[in-house]
Amino acid sequence: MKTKQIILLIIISVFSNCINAQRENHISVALNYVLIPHNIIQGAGYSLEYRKSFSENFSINGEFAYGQAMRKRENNVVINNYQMLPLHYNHAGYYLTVFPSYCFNLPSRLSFEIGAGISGCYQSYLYDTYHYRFISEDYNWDEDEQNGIYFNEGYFIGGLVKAKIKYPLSAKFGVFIHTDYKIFWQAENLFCAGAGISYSF
Amino acid sequence: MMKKIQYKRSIMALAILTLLVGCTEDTLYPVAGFTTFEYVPGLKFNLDASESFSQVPVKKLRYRWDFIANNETWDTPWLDNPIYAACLPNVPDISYIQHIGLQVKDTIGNISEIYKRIRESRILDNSLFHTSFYDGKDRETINYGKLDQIWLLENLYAKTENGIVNTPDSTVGSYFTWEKANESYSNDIHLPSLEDWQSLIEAYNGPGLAGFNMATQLDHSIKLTYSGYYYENQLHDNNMCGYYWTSTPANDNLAYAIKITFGKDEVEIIELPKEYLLSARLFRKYGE
Repeated sequence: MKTKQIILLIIISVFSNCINAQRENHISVALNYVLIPHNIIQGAGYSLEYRKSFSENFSINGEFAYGQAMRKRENNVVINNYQMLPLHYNHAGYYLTVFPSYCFNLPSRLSFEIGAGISGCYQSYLYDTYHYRFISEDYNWDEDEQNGIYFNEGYFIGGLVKAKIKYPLSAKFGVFIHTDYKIFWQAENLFCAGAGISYSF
Repeated sequence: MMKKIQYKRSIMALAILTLLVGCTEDTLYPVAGFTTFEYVPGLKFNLDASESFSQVPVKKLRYRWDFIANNETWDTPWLDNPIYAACLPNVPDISYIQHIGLQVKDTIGNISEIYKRIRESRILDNSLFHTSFYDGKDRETINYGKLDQIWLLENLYAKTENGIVNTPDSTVGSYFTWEKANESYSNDIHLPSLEDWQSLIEAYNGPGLAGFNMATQLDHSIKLTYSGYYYENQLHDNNMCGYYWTSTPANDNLAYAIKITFGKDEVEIIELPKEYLLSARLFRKYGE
């Protein structure tokens, strides 16, 4: 009974805020640093975000992002006539995210925003599991180099948490830095941090 | 005051977020490799994956093999022993180069694989022919070109006399005391020495596998039999073991013999009393 009351209160407060909201919407674009913690693959990407405010503090956000990351993992050792070769990791993904956010006003016109929501993605992850070469003259190998490749591609669902610090430059424009962490079911998790500009209308 | 609390909470949230971003690296996969030898269809030979290794300390490896090399099914389960005695089938009209696959798996489940070519041995090529042997009859022999040896493909037979016994089963030849087996049947055809047997055993992929390879009834085998031995008017180990004299004495009372056992791949070199009656094979060296 208590839970139901709380849910009802939240819904009422959201919709009452909507009625009295300032109706300030934003679009923003950001360039991001991307880190995939699994195998520590780093790269870059961008994100486009649309934000619809329902009150001074509460808003709903929709974000499209792209990230690409790669890594060459060196393993320069020779053991028993086997020369280890570098392992290559390649990752790319498109992300579509929807999340509500809450904004706190900080001193010096700064604002801090946090949010959490759901994310869907298309990911392509390709990497070497092993890569080596037999260095003595043995004509019996089917191939000179032995290379095992892991490949995971497809559509995945997950969630994210996001934080953003924003500074208004004018009535319409602002700059921000943001960071988020996306977690996906049966796909790679992703850490992003970046900076961008936003436009209010 | 309220804003300060909010600010601190935000910093805490960020710190937790940073902690969540724990970076991990996959463990390095093992390296798969094995030694290849030439093979003879139908005979057992060793595949040795001992050169495979884990790149991470204290990671025990397991092995499985693909002989048909169709890359779909593996012909053995996961094995702890890196050495496996394989036997490629004798398929007519098949290329003399086969492909053998090996997968190695470490204790955390990382798997690497390798495929290598393996060639059919020519050591026994054109080995079967008929030649007039000890008694003037035309008998089947096997020719080991690399060893410069010709071996009779059947056990020696002789009429029953003192030191020679025959059983109703004529297919297994006669049983001889060491003295009788050593009697020369012609100038160039005689009982092989221990060295001759050892070189033959090596040609049949060593003492660990020669027991199977010399007794299998396929084309390239010398077709030894599990005919047992005869002593004190009794046949022992019949259909269980095969005993063959060498011409090499161990001392005044004992001589070396070759023993094979049904169901075992190994061949043993043993010493037996010279009065035991064992099977005998004759052979000839080129140039004798």
